[in-house]
Amino acid sequence: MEFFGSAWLYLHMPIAGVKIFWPGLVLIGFSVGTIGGFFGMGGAWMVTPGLNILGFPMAFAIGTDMAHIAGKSMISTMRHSKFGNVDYKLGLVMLVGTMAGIEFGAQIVMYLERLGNVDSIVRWVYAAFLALIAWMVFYDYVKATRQRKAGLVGEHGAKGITWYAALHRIKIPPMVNFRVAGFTCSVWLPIGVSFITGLLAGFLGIGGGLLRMPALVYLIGCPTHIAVGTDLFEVMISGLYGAFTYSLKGRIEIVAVFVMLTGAAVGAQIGTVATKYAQGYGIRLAFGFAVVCCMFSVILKEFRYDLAAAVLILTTIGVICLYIIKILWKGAVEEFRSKRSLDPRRMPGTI
Amino acid sequence: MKSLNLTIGVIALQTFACISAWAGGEKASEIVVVADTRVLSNPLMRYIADTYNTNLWLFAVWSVVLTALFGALLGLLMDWLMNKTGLDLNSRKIIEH
Amino acid sequence: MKANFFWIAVFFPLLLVFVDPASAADVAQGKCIVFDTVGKRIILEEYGTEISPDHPYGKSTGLVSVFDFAQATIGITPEPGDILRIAFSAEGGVKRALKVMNVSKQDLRKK
Repeated sequence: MEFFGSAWLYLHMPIAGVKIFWPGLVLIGFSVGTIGGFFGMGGAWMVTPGLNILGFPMAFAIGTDMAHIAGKSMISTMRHSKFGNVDYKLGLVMLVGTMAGIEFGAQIVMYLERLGNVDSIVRWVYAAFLALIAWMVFYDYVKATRQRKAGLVGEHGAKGITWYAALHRIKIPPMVNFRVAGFTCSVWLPIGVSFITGLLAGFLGIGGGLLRMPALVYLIGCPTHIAVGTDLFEVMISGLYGAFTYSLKGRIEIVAVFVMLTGAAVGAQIGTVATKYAQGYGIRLAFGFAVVCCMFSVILKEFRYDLAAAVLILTTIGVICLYIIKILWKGAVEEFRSKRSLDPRRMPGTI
Repeated sequence: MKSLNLTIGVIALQTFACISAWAGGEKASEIVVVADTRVLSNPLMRYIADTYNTNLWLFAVWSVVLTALFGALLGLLMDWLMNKTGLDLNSRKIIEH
Repeated sequence: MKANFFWIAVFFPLLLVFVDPASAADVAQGKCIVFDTVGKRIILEEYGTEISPDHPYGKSTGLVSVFDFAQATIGITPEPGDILRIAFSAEGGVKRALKVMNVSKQDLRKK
């Protein structure tokens, strides 16, 4: 996909044989790191569409994204040296479902590729998936604003959702007791849930944490702190397995993975540090708009407005990155200044 | 609640039917990709593409291992770099994927 | 633990590199002249690597080669006139195809 005339802006991908606008690749990697680090969720949802828009065939975009997720989860695991609180028994049981789901999703992608319409179908599923994320973000925002107005502070409000209690009552053997997470249920519940999230991950080339986290809490009944660790564990293993199965199918562009990973490693630091200085819900809105813009660019790509799609997605993530960098810059300057002057009135952590 | 479940079920079925109808109707044949090593001069790129053409298993092992190692290396490097900047990173809980 | 993981990760692929003898293959691209399913051979008019708007798959070099595809993985069934890319190993004068990609029928650049 050539947007500009200058040849040096394009990197030749050895396997797919396409020429890729490499600054776009770096920007995607950097943004997914920054935005993912800042909002505390994967952010891989923008990589598959982004790669496809830059010119990767869809199956390559998904495979490359999976490998990039594996690398990124290695980065964060190394940084924290551990996953945190993991119920390894639950993690291993879910691994069965996750891996089966990823394989099934990848097989669907390969089947659609043989039929010749994987690009269109994945793009439409993506549009629907991004619409769902946007809805979740905006709904959350509206709920939070309403609660703030009503004077509810701190608490998440009435939890209400206890589907897992009903699901735990389904007693299909074998029943398993997960000691760390503190519940007993049929082994098929975590396997089923992880199969579905794995399927989506394998089909769309995402980590699946966005769906697995709420599923762990609401459907399986995992305490939140254990859900976080277990999810990280699942993301890493599923990324590695996804990378393996997609490269075995010959649908990975390893050079692109490395370029993006380098950008992501730098971006992730900026994003995670910036969370320290960020306040308020406004940034969540920006995130929601980014998702909506990403959705529109996927649709633009579908109707062959390649340049418009590329410009839309790259400028959107670029602007959000700049915004996050601004937060970081301001916060860091403030922190250094307050450290130097040792002024007790200046509180670190304010913008 | 029951009607909601029913609606979701019907929508899911319809989506599935649409996708199958859309997907069907054409003949299926495997897609094989051959990396064009004629145009690659960089030895590393050449090795990657050669491995891809001749031995996909080795290629798969390499890509997983290299990705994991590179990720781990970047993680350690960034940790070290962030420590150097002197910003206090422990005052707020960080959750990342 | 970490060090163990590291060494296993490095040595396992290296081991495979040495175990696997056929690590390099040549690639040819060009127009399919004959696709013989009985004799399991492809006759290919080879193209060069320079591409231009007039010759998106390269210019003909005039060279005609025969490939044995008895053991090859073949994508979309080639027909005379299709542009093919073949990874092959040359053993004793015989060009044995490993993979056959039908470039014109699955054009990756369009997607």
